[in-house]
Amino acid sequence: MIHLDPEWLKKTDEDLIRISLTHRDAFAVLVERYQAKLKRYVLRISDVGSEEADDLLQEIFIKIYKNLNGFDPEQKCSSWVYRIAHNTAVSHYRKRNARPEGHLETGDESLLERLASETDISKDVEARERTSAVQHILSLMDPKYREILILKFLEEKDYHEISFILKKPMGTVATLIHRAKKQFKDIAKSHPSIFHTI
Amino acid sequence: MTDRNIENEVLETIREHNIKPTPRWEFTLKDSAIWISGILCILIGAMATSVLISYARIDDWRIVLESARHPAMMILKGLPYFWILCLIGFLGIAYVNIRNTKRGYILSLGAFAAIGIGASLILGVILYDAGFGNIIERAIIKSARPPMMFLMHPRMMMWSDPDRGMLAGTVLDIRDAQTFSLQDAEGRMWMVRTDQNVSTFIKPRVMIRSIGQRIGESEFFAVRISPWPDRTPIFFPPPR
Repeated sequence: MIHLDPEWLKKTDEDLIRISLTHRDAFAVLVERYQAKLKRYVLRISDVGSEEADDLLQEIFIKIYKNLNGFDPEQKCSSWVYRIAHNTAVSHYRKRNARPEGHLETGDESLLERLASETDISKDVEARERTSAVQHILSLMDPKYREILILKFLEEKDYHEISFILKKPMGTVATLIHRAKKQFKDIAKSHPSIFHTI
Repeated sequence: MTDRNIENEVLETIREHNIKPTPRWEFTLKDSAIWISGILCILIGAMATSVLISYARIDDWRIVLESARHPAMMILKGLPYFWILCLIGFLGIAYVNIRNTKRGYILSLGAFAAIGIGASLILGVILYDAGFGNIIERAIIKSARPPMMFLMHPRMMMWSDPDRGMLAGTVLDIRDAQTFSLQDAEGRMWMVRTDQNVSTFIKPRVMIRSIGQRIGESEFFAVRISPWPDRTPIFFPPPR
């Protein structure tokens, strides 16, 4: 049975981290705030199904709880949470020696549209085909390029946040995004059937 | 939306296994240990740099180029590969360590290389000026044996090749104006002959380096003799 103080619901994420150190049940509020986002993210970057994603989500939140004292208040809580989620998901699919293809959900259409227009495939493709085409192309991409496009366009993280999540310098993040877009376009060009089989 | 109640599952697991947040001091300790080891690596890199500077400053290369029979081979033999690898290796370890600190990830490899090499160079110059490069050289000669000594002190290896006309060691005694005995880095005894009057500039217990020709099992004819560059002129190689 979780005992929630209604005051906790008004607290910022950073305050909740601090409160959770002395009131364990406060952590439930943080879990509730992030579980949907993190589950979507885990599904996007790995090859797990929904049930396995929930198991992974549990593992992620346990790690977040264990590392509460390691949170740097100068960083955004969401970046820190995403970093732990990212590392856990990557470690999970590496252990399975799997090549993650990712699953995108309905509701991602507007974000996928943004990715489509950034990579210039929109002019050749009908709108309704674009979303599926983008999903298919993402599944064919190198995991390190796919995850950065997902962070930028689907999770809508800025360069600073991506730098923190992936523990890479900002310059490297910019280079990776540039290369990711190039690979995206190259795959689109070399697989024209993607646009006709939808 | 998931059907499972993840909040309850997480809190239940935390309760059941009595999971607690890792104490703050562990994070502080880990971060401090990483920074300290990173700084130590840079200091070791600086020590390697001071040795490299002492190698660059001494006149071995000029003497070898002017007088040795196989100057290019000798110079290649005498290059301080070990210390160069030491510098690169420890800077590499420092980079990996510092990248794992809270803010270290923002440093690119290029930025770190510039800072690391710059810091090693500045500290290396300070250590060299304080005589550190020399101290390390002498410590290696005193305590190490070949082949380890030659690995860390390639200059000594370069000068310990009598078959190719290079001999260095400690003068034991002066026999006459043109003959003296010498003990080399491997502890072997040599009778060194020359056409110069050595009694004016060579004394017992002094290290010298010579270029010439091997004329017997333990005999060497020196055409050029120079003192071993050292801040303290008296030095004994380790006996066999």
